[in-house]
Amino acid sequence: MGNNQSGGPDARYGGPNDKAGLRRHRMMSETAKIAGQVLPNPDGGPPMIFDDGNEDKSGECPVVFRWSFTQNAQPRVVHIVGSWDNWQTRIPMVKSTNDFSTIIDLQPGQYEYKFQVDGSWVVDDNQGKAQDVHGNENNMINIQDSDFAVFEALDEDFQSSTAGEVLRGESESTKNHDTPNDRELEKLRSFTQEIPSMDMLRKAAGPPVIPPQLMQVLLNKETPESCDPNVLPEPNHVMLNHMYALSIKDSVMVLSSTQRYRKKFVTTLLYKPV
Amino acid sequence: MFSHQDRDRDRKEDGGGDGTEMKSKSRSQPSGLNRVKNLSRKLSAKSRKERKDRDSTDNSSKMSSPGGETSTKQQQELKAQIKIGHYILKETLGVGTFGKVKVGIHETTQYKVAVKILNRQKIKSLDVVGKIRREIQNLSLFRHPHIIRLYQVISTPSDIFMIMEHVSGGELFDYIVKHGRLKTAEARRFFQQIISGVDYCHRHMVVHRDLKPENLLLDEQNNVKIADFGLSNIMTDGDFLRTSCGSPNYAAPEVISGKLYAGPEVDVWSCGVILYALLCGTLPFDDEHVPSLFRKIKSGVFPTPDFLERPIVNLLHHMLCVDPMKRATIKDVIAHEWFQKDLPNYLFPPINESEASIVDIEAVREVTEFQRYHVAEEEVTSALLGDDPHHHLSIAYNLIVDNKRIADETAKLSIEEFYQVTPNKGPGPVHRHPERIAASVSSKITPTLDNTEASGANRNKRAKWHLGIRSQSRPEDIMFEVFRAMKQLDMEWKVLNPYHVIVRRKPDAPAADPPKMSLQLYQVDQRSYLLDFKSLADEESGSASASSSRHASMSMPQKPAGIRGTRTSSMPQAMSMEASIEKMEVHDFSDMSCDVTPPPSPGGAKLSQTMQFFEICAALIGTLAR
Repeated sequence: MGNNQSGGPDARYGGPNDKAGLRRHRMMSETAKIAGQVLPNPDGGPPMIFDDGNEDKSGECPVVFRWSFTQNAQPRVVHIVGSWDNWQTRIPMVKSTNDFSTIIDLQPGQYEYKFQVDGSWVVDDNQGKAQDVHGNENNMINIQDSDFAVFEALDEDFQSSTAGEVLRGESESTKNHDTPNDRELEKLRSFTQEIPSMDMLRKAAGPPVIPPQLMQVLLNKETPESCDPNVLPEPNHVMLNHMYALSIKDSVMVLSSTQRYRKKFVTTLLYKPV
Repeated sequence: MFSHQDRDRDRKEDGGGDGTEMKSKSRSQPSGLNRVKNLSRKLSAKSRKERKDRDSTDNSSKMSSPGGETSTKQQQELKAQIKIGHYILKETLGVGTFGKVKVGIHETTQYKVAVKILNRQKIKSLDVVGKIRREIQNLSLFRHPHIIRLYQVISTPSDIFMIMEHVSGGELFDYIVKHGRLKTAEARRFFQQIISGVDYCHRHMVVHRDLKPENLLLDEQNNVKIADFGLSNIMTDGDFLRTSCGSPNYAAPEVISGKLYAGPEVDVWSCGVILYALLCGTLPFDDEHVPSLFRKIKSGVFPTPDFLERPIVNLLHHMLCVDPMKRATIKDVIAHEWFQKDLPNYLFPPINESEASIVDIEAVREVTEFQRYHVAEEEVTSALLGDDPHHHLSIAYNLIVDNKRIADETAKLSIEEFYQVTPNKGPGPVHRHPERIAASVSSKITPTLDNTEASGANRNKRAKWHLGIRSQSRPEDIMFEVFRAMKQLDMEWKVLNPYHVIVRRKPDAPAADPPKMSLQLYQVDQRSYLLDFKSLADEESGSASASSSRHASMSMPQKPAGIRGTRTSSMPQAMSMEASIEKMEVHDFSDMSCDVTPPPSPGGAKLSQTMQFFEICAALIGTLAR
């Protein structure tokens, strides 16, 4: 079996060889295009779309509506009607395991809606509600812009989650298992000049064991004579940005550090009298 | 080619442990291909009609006539379907811990995708928002034939939809369970694809951390697709990872021990376990009793059946080496003779280093076409010429260039197979793999970290460099002295934990942003501790919000003195301080711009970030010594 990467087109067109060949040919033509090419798609998938859901309609974004039911009270048919089109259209909802649901594209804002379950008009008590000017009760939803930007939505959810609270130091008793980088943790703390108490230092868990990678010192490596003496071995990424030093000798302190610079690395030394 | 049951199933969401995974499968009904096509076509036509009707209704504020209204209602009655973006949601493939996975059909192309639906409230209460964010961050720009593709992410008020590549062959795990241990050639083919994908991840500074057969899916042609990047993380310069994650049977010893690790070495260990499972049909470390399992992993002793050939045993021992410093690297695995046999060219396209400095105009244009980045081509070009290789535009550019190389090789493969010009390779002469040639060439120019040869005479003459400063006091006393010294020097700090502090000089003005450094106390042995100083680069201000999460996780190199923007293409010489001498060692002189000494900027040259870092270190060391 060859390592054929054109799985998608073959699966779609099945048996006929000429169609498969035609599909491959078209894919190759598409790959060869220069103008208008978004990204090459080796597997012939849909073109890469890099947006946050704001599709062809200006400002309209998808909103999920659900009607949940229990196993012993399953409705036969559910529709939803809402103020987004002035209550004009009864939209049928699709049945799934535990609910009926649908997705409607809406502009951000406030909307009222109602469900029709097996012919009866119903308001879901578990979703937001409001009364209209005629005194009727409807469900109500408020759509924000930030709900449709993926990373903004996730950041909001993270801030209000247990992990977010723990990282800000607000509730230290709660244990959380979502452990991001220390860099993410740093963004949540503020600078101070308050010295932690000795009691706090003693209660803390001990410092971590030093990783073996840090004990590999770049400048301690012997360079073979065939190499340029100014060329050092390629460091791995965890060795970068750390400070290495020589013992103070003849009243001179010597420090060094290696940083990434474009596709190379630079090691800088400082000789400083003390 | 083994024939296996064709199940239309995508991978299940994995909660990070085997115990939490819900095994609920949904199988699509077998049906005639023509009938399915006709049905899809009808649905597509209805979808277009529906949109047209909705637009006209929205555009008109008038009340429609009774007849028209009835007609509209009747049409609406027929179209009970869910559409997200351009995809119509179909049957459920499975239910994971965080939500369902459904089949999606692209409404115009009829292309099939997998739609993972994550309920925002549920992922928040389960405390995995960060995990989801990392998966989206790390996966959205990846393009590799053996990594599952994330086409699109759509956020709604209640749910997040991840539009992913649909893979119909099931899990490699089920394949091994069904077939038992595989023949060498088949196992090698799978393993080569896995290593190619993992190497791609590492080249782009992403470590997977949850590699196991359950997360390796198979497509129709039995090719591997690496999936589930929920435990992955971005590797940043100078930083270690510590999270003990992944499945116990596949986790490296340092991970289950809670030690710090760099990243790639734990993926190598997991790949070693997978290779063993492919060849033997069992796991090298296995025990129902978790403490016993952990003891086995830490011992690194595993059974080697007689049917395993000697080269494979050597490779397995090198990959499943307990000491991460002695463990095989991805490069070692790729260079291994067993791995090199029957290795397809497309898996490791040659890196043309002579072109590394040439800007690919097409790739620049493609970066600008991303809707997320509303930028001009000049901005992309200046980002590439700037001093920040982790700029989000540079990242996007490099991914596109890398993806083009892979796509070119894959296209060549398709052409070859289409015309059947070259039948299956016979035992012809073995050509050296480009990676090997590059490695052998580079080894002559650049020494490696493994070179431990030293002459006695030179050793006596040369002083030894050491990391940070050492002490044999108690850790709490060391840190207390450090805090006191910092206060004396008028520094300020953030306490991440009592032994990890972020430090900077107190700014003279609110607008000033002095460079920061990280202090971390490490334990060296029972009575010895080491205070490590690490420079932290400035975060670039004004970065795009969509990339801020990724950008913040990146470590940035030092900026040249006096110039902080990314538009400059020159690096002025750092100003020499009075009574201090700077010596710059450049690893490779091929980049001649490092030797250029342009005049300092008109605004007056400042100290480079590296020099400022050195000054803070020297001041703190001096104060502590007193």
